[in-house]
Parts: sequence; structure tokens; C-alpha cells
Amino acid sequence: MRYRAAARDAYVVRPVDDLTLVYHRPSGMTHVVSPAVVAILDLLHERTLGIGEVCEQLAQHHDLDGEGDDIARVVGARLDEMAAMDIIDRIA
Amino acid sequence: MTDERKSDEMELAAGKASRRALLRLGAVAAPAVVTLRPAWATGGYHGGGGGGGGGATTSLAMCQIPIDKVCDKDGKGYDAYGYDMSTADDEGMVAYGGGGYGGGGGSGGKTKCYAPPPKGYYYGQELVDYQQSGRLPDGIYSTKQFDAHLKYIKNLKPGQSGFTCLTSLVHKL
Amino acid sequence: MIADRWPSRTLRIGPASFHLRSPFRRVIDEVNALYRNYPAETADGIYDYAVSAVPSSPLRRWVKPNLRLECDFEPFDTLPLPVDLGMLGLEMGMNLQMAVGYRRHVVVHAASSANGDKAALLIGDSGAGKSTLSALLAYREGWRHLGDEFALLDLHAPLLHPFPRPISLKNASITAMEARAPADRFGPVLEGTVKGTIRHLLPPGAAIDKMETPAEIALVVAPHFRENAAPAWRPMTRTETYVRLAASSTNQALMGEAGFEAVWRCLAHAPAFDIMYGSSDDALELFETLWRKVTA
Repeated sequence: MRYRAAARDAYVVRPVDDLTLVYHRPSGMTHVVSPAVVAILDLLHERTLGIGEVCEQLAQHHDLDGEGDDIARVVGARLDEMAAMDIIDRIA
Repeated sequence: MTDERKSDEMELAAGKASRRALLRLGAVAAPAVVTLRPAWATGGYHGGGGGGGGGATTSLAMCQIPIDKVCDKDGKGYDAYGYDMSTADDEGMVAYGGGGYGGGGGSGGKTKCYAPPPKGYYYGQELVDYQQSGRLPDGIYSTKQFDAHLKYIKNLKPGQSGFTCLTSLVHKL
Repeated sequence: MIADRWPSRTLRIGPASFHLRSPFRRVIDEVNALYRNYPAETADGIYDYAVSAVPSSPLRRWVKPNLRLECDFEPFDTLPLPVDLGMLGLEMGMNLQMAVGYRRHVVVHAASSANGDKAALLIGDSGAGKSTLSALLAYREGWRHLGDEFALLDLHAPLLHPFPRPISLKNASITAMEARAPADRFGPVLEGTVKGTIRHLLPPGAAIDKMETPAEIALVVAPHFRENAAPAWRPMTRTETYVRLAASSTNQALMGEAGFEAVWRCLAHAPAFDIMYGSSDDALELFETLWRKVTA
């Protein structure tokens, strides 16, 4: 399973406190998201990546905390959530 | 101890900050995305969640707020705005009065610790049910224990597990 | 009487205009009495929304008369209203047009009040306390009432536009305001409504005269009245403020990027506080102290 986001200018990203507002222009929806989602979205603009690749690239710039859970599982959960809310697309 | 580990520790000892920031990925079942969808006449809430099905959008109210042991009135605590929350009441409200904001003396209360809920977390729905019916969640028999849990929940800080869940329920709580 | 000869009244409230009609003359007479200070014309003779209170069936024009609404944006699933609540029915109709049909600004279910050229937005669930607090402020020295039901956010700047309809007081807040406002500013007592007893309070003349003057948003407050509560307050994070504002808006999510930016501007421009109090005096004191603090 791979994931892909629209071009950077399809989103308006505004951090507020700890969370971030993401306005998705194509759908007109506004989402309130955590920093992990912001970091993951940032990697996917016009790039198609699998879970493993996303984990690797996140790890290049961050120490990852999955609250004791397997990192790939948690990142997978975030990606699925983002796809379910139409922030990104799932590509088979 | 490997050489690499030794030099890491030397670096830390020298007070050099790590070049990489910590990124909290959250928990598998706790939502990290909340979307307010338009609904008839007034706004409606919908949240996504990972869940076991992978990609299935679960009900907002199934998001989880984990709770560990909670110690009540445990010394001074400051919230995100620098207000002294140790004098806050159970609502997390800081009393207003006499010499300016955040007034009110410290109560000098004793520290008392309460066990976490049996499953280690609350579902958002359980908190909503409590708010609406006054019924304690399953497995909780002590009002004082639950009050301490609620106080912890209402003082959750950004970055703490469950904060997103709480935020998405804020309109109902 | 054929429909286009029914008694009618054109009415302007803030940026919106309505054409109210009914074959029941007494309903329009009551409207004319309550809205006597409101403009009766639009600049070009064109009004935004038509709201009519019509008999629920031909028989009901004459026997135990009751009415239903016909409007551009129509309510469904509502029971007929007795004719003596006809004016309330027309008000409901106007509210519905604003909630569902209005797109010139972001509409928030909120009260608002201006002090000088700056304004405070009062948000919260029905019954929590925002309408009563806005009524108290309406007759408070230094404050100009902008609205008790709808606050209108500008799409290009952090401004609130007035929608200063007659304030709808319910039950206990009626008595509270009868002690604070001149008797001739009140409408008739309306009993037996689904919300209990309702009485309208006209805002001061200045609020109606300046209905086209916006104010810059400087403070967001979520007020709560609770019996015997000591006054208390806490700052709201921007996330919480965003969630509460968006959830109180009937049209923000439907207005695309302009709607998003309007709410964002509100967040960026004004700090937000949740306040609790047990009396009107405490409410005013707490609110005004916060106001001075943020506008200092």
C-alpha cells in the first residue's frame, strides 16, 4: 500500500498551539491534526511512498516515539487515517 | 559499552543538544485527525481513527485518553499559559478575585494518589456518558478517583497522549 | 385577499433584508410595533429573503387560526404555530434564512458587543449564558449591542458585522433585564412557547442606528452561568477556540477557503477565555476586567 498527497499549494497549513489546522483546497474541508500528521504530509506532496519509506524518511529528521508500539504500525495507522479523511490518497 | 555509545554520552555530557526533534506519532487507535464536517444548520463533528481495520473511520467517541496513576494536588502545576493550576478547582478553573488574576491561596492539601482506570484509558464516549448521565464509567467505583482522573484529563497538555481526543470532545465536555 | 395584497413589511437588520408577509393582519401589526425603529426599505427596493406566515390549511385561516412558514429556505418537520405566536414564527423564519441561506459573511451562533471600534464575541451552547450577557452589555455604559443570536464574520478582515435584531429573552433572563432596561423597549410577553416564556428587548436606539458599522474583533469569550458559582475564568487554547467557533458556525465549512481564513483571522486576532459566574453583576465585572486586560 502506498500513499500520495496533492501538491503543496493544495493545502493551507497553519500551526495553532500544539496542533495544526490543515485546509484542503480540493475538498474544502478543514482538519485539526497532530504534529505527526504534519510531518508525514510534508513528505508526500506529489510523491508516492510506502509505509517503510515514510518511516525511514521521518527517522532522518526526527526521533520517533510510537508510545511503545511498533513504529511502522503506528505510522501505518496515521497514513490510513489521513487517507480515510481524504487528506491524502491511497495508491495500490 | 560500544565506542559509539560512549561518544554519544560524551556529547550529552558536554551539553550539546540533539540535532533531531522528537516526533510523537501517537497511538494506533487514538485519532490524530479531527474534521468538522458541515451538517444541517449547525456544524457536526467527525473524527478518523486507525482502528484494527486499518483505514476504517471509527467513531470519534472511541478515541482513547490513557491515564496512569494520578496524584491529586501534587505540588504546583502550571498550564500552558503559565497560570498556577494548583489552586484550580475540579473544573480546572482558576478562581478570580482579590489581588488580580489567578488569585486564591494554595490550599496546602495533602497529596493523594489514585489508581488508573482498569483498562488504563477512557474512551471519549465514557466521558460524554458521564457528562450526560452522571454515571461513572465501568470499573470505577470511587467518585474521588474519577474526579482525580477528570482533573488530570482537563489539564492535559499539548503533546500528551489523549490531548487530541480531548480537544475533539471539548464541545461535549 | 390574494397573496400579493397581504399585509407585509420590509425589514432590514444589519446587512440582510427580509420581506415579511401574512394574511393575518395582527401578525404584521405586531411586527410593525416591535420593529418600529428598524429600516423599512432597502436601497434599491430589492430584498434578500421572503418569509411568509400562511394559514396551515384553508380552514385555519378562520377557525382556531394557526400558521406555518413559507420562505426561500424552508423549515421542515415543524408543527403549526397558533396565530398569537405568529411574530415568533416569522422570527424563526428569518433565523433560518440567516443560518442556512446567508453567505456574505461567516455566520456564527454567537452574541457580540462593541466597545469603541473593537468587539467581543460571546460563544457557547444555547442556554449557557451568552444571550443574557449580551443583553446586560446592551444596556451597559460604553457598549454597543451587535447581536444576540448571529455574529457575522467579515471575509476579508477581522471584523464583526452587526445583526442587532430585537434581543430574545427567555424565562429568568426576562426578569433580570426588566430591572435594567426602560419599559418601552420591551415587546409583549409571549407564553407557552417550546422554550418557555419569551419577551423581546429592543437594543438601544444607537445599536439600531449603527447597524451598518462593523467593529474589529478583539476578544472571544465562552460564558457559563451556574447557580452560586464563584467567578472563575481560564484561557482557551487556539485549538479549542477553533473547534468551538467552527462548530458554532452554520456556514463556515460551506464557504471554502474564504470561510477558513475568516475563522483563522478571528483566532489570530483575538485571545479567548472561558468564564463562569453565578450572578449578572459578577458576569459583567469579570467580563469587563478581561476586556480591559486584552485591550490595554
